[in-house]
Parts: sequence; C-alpha cells; structure tokens
Amino acid sequence: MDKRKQFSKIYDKFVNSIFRFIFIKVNSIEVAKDLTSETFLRVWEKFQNSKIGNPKAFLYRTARNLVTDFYREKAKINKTYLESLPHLPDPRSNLEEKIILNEKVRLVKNALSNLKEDYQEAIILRYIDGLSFKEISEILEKSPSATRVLVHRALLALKKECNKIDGFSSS
Amino acid sequence: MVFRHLNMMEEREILRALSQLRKIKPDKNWAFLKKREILGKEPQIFPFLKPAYAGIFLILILIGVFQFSQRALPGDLLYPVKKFTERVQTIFVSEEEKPKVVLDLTQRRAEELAKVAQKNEVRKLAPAIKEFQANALQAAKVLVKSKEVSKKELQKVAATLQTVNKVEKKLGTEVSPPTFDQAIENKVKSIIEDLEKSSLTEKQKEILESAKKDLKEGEIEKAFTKVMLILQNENE
Repeated sequence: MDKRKQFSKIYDKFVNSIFRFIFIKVNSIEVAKDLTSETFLRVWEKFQNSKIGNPKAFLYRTARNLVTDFYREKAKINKTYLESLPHLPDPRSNLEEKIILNEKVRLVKNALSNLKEDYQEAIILRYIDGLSFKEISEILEKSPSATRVLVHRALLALKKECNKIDGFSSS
Repeated sequence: MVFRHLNMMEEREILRALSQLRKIKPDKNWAFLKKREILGKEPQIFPFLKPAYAGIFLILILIGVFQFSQRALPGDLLYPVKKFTERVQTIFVSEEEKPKVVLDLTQRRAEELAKVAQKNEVRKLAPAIKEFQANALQAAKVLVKSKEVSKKELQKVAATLQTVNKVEKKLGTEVSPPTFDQAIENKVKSIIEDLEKSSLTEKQKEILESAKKDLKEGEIEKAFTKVMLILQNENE
C-alpha cells in the first residue's frame, strides 16, 4: 500500500479524536479546524519522508505542540486572552457539531477547561478518547507509572472543579 | 460511607458526562475536503500523460522542436522541420515582400554552407551546396525581375556573395550557380550605370572607376562592395 493510502486511513481513523482533543483545549471550532488541519499536514509531510512508528502518538504530540504554540502566540498578542476565553463556549459549537450538551456535560466541559494543561490532556486521553495508560504515556512522553499518577490527580482535580460549580452533585 | 457513596456517584456522573464529549466531531464535509487538500492530488511520475495536460505538452514539444530545428544544418535530422517553418512563414508574406524573403533565405543558406565548410562536415557538404544553389537560383530571378532592389537588400546580396566566395576559397571549388553570379554582375553593372548619371564627389568618382575596373577583371565581389560603399555614402 502506498503512503498516500496509508495516511488516508490514518486520517480517517484519527481526525475526529484529534479535532476533539484540540477543540476541548481551545474552545473554538475555527481554531480547532485550523490546528487539526495543520497537525495532519505536518504529520503527512513527516510521514512521506520518514517512517513514523506510532502515528497515533505522533499525531497527538503534534497537536499538543500546536496548541501550546497557539496559546503562546495569543499570549504575545493579548495577555488577557487566556483568562477571558476558556470560560466562553463557542456560540456555534452546538450548531456545527449538532451536539445537545445537557447542562451537566456543559458543566464538566467548563470544569475541564479550568484545569491545567497536563490534567486536561490526561482526562481527554483517558476518559474521552479511552486510551490506555501505555498509549497516554507515549503521547505525554512520561513513564506509565507517572501517567497513572497524573490521570488520578487530574480526575481528582476535575471533581474538585466540578464541586465548585453549583448544582452539579445535586442530581 | 454515605459520603463515599456520594463521591462514587459523582465520579460516575463525571465520567458519563466526559463520555458524552466523545460526540464532538468535526463537520464531515470539512474533514473530507481537508483530507483531499492535505493529501493533494494523486502524484504522477509523468503528469503530462493526463489528457488535460497532453495538449499543452504537445504544444511545448512542438515549440521546442521548432526552436531547436532553427539551428539545424542541411543533412541534419531536424533540417526538414526548419525548411517547413520557413515555407509556412513565406505563405503569409505579401507579393511585395517575397523578393526580400528570397534574398534573406539565400543569405541564410550561404551562412549554413559556410558553417558546414568551416566544421569540415563532409557528409553535410553536398546537401548544403544543393540547398544554397536552389535558393541562389531564386535570388537570381529576383535580381533580374526586380528593377528596384533596396540598398538594404543589396547589402544582403553583397554579404551572401562574400560568404560564398570564402566558402569557394576554402573548398577550392565553385559552388555558386552561374545564373546567380551573372545576375549579380548585371545588377552591379546597372548600379554603375545609374551612378554614372548621378552627381558624385571626386572621391566617389574615384571609387566608381575602381569598381568598373574590378568588374572588367571579373572581380564582381570587389566591384559590388565598392558600389555599395558609394550608395551608402549617398545616403549620408
């Protein structure tokens, strides 16, 4: 199978999860689209010229780096951007994704947005994308035991954040 | 125990809510179009083989062949292409312009012959002489028929004559057809007659006399060069 066909399959398999991973971190459909596109473009360029052992981990790592770069650039332009945006859900997200997020899901998503970056990533990879600890450790470039600790702490932090929000535990 | 139960419920709810976030997906059309954009079109080792490019490719090849053929010499593979393009060019030339084209082509054939002789390409010599002679016969007709040949065209004829004389010296044989030589001689005579009727400076008269002497001695090229010198001075 030629590289184009191989990468086409990789794209089809991971485009949703990479988009989701980015979207939850940036809270903007347009930015998520741009960064997803850039992620696949960069990996495709690399894929053509060299062998990538674990395309899935490579995609996530590229996406992480691009999100970091995005926030770094934004911070340069406007230091208040990070503080003001993550709490605001994208007004078009419901329309475009056709997701009916109930109130609880919305609250969890907002709580997730308030976590620090590595906790966010640990939660997304483990509980949304359903990756194994081994897979997460490859993406985050940590040892499996450190990854387990990170995921555990991230979940505790998320619970704490959710408890801050009124009404969450009353259902 | 109650607190622990509540805590467990809370975790389960959080996990359930998180699993709901799996529904976040990009627009299918966007994902499809983006994939095409990223992967681009199917690479082709020979993209010109695509029908859409075939026409353009063919035109480029033809342009390349035509341009390359312009350097061809008699006996070369592409020489017939060069002749063909010249023939096509003459189709679009008016009757008035045709003598000029004939003299141009004769000069070109003489230059080709000179190149072949210079490079000592024996194989190409016979076709080069043949090509020149064929054009020289046409040029002779032009010189005989056309009473008025411009100075510019006469200069071309003079240049052709010079080139051919050099070739003849190098090869040690006559290549110019007698008809062509005769036509030039007659043209030089005719010019001399015209110049004798016109008012000339002492210097010009001196050159004219010298040209007449050359003509008598059969030095047509020298005579021609001299009368051309007078004609050029007439302009200044």
